[in-house]
Amino acid sequence: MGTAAFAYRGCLGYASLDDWQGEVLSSRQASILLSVANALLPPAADEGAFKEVPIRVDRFLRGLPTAFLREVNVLFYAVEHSTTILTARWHRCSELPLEDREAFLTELSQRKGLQGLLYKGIRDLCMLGYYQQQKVWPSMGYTGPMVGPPRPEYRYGWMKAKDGALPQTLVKDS
Amino acid sequence: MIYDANNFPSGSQLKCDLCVVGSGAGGSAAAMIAAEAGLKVVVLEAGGFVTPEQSTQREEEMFKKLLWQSGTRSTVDKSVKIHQGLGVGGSTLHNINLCKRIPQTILKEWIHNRGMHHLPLKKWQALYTEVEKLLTVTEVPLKQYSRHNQILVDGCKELGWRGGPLQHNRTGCVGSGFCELGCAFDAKNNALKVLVPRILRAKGEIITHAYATKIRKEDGRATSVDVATIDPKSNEKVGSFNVEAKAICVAASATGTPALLLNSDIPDPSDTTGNTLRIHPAVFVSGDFEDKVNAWQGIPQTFECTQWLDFDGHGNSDAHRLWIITAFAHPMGTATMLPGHGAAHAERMKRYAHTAVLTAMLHDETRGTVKPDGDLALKLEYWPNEKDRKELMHGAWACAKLLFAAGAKSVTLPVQPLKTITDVAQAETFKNMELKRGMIDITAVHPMASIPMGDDASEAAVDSRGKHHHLEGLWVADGSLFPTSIGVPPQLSIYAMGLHVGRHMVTSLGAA
Repeated sequence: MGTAAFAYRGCLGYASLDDWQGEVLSSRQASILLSVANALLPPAADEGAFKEVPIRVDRFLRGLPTAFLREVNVLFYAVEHSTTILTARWHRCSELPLEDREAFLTELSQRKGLQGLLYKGIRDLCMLGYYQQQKVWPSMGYTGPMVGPPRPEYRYGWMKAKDGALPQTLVKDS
Repeated sequence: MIYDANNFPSGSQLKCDLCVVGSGAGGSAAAMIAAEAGLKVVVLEAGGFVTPEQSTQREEEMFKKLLWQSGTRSTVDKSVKIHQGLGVGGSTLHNINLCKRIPQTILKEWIHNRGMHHLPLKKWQALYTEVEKLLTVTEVPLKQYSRHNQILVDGCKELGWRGGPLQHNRTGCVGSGFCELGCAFDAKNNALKVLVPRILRAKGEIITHAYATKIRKEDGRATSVDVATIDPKSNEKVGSFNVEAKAICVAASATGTPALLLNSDIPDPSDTTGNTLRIHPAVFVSGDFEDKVNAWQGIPQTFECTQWLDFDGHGNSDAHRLWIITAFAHPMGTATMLPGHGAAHAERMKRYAHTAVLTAMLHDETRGTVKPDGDLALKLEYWPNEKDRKELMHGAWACAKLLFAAGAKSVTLPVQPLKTITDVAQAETFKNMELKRGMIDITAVHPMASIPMGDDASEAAVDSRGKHHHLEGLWVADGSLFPTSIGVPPQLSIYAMGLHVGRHMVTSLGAA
């Protein structure tokens, strides 16, 4: 029964995200990220922007080196499951009540070394996913990209080789 | 023309006179000289062909296109972030266009300590004059100063601190302020705009998504370059080809170049390759102002404070080594650099439009290391030594003084936990803080000095022509060459190295 309890704690009981179509983050990781964002982002966060955080983070992580993405996987696992080892809380991070979840993350933020890095890593992902969104900018007075004046005439088109063209220096193609 | 490696078959063989690895300031300059001298030149660029038309001025899109690892590159222990450019034009696509010459004091020290027979002072001056003309370097007029830069001007004036205007390589600038995300208005007179057209018109070829993984050698001579074809979406290797060349010039930055040389087992009895990295680490301090600053708008970094930058005292252990300028990040960057979370963090972000940020960049003495990590990655180790850490905190103090002098209501040092002061007297606490890993985000954008040039083959891997001492046909033409940190933005000097090394390669190949 103890094994089953641990198995449940470790693997089951995650809220599934409808239609999750991430390429880097799993549905579970997206769920964990949402739960952390809930605790770390402003209480009055725009709901639409808030729900987009895992989508935006997934998009940002695409194409990053494999070694970096391995670290991201470890980060999610460690944040989610270190509640017991580090702070004697039974429940996983995403299962904690909101206030307790924030308290756990705040405790992590005050620790040094790897534990502090766990907090910083997951926090940075939340901030990255939230503050890149245009709907958030009015609250900070940020006016965003400069729309006008007109852009100069495009002068770089001639540089690109036509599709199918091969370098003149190519002496053997396989 | 510019070709994409993904469009030709894996296993292809290219043959040329000169293969240049990297299309940034140094690589493009060297390639331009060689191509215009009639040599068949192939330039390999690991990134893509990103033009001003593609600049969306959005962090999450442009970081992916213009920065290695989308701007997440850091030291192994994550304590220092190092931003480096990617794409045809390298870091000149995203830099802030600052143009400064290496101070004479430093050049004289190099000449005294490292031989530098091919780079006497006169040569440096001539190269700088040439580069400044090439890039149309001019001072930014006072009337074009943003409110953000005016704050630094005001602070210097109030304190009686030394400062002055900065020169930039921009033409037709509309003051968007989005330089670090690529100029959508094509105002940067950078490698892409100025040098690449000349390379191509002289029949040089540039190949994108081409990551050089190894330099092949035979009988004491560099013979060819193995290249991985990189898929632009996954950034994974999807193919390979080889470029055979009479000479190979590596200009892949002060991190990429030593990594490639080490990965290729290029002999170096001096053991300096990758072991003497400097980065100009910087700390940031923000001030909150009653009126709006809108620091993301207008030309960034048009004024410098040099009160604490004592090049004449170079070598004197008490000499200060700090260069202070404005610095600002867009929302994503700011939110991640500002510690904390929840309501407190959000309240600070609401003051974004009222925030000014100064940075103190250090002319560092610490030596970091660069090592390859497989074929397609590298490992960076760097943590400022005790003296450099003290100096950085002195820089934080100086930034705080300037912000208060310019009228800031409060000043914040983005440490964990956040430290906000409301009285200039409290800034003394910044000076006395011990800088520890993880306490504050240290950022660097000027890696250099990782293969320090010198004419004594027992002390250097590369001579003052950029020619490798121990492998014929191998050259280096980027910021790796600087024997020490230079204390000023390096782009002008890297362009200069490209021209200089390019000419020596042309002579060596008999094309002069």
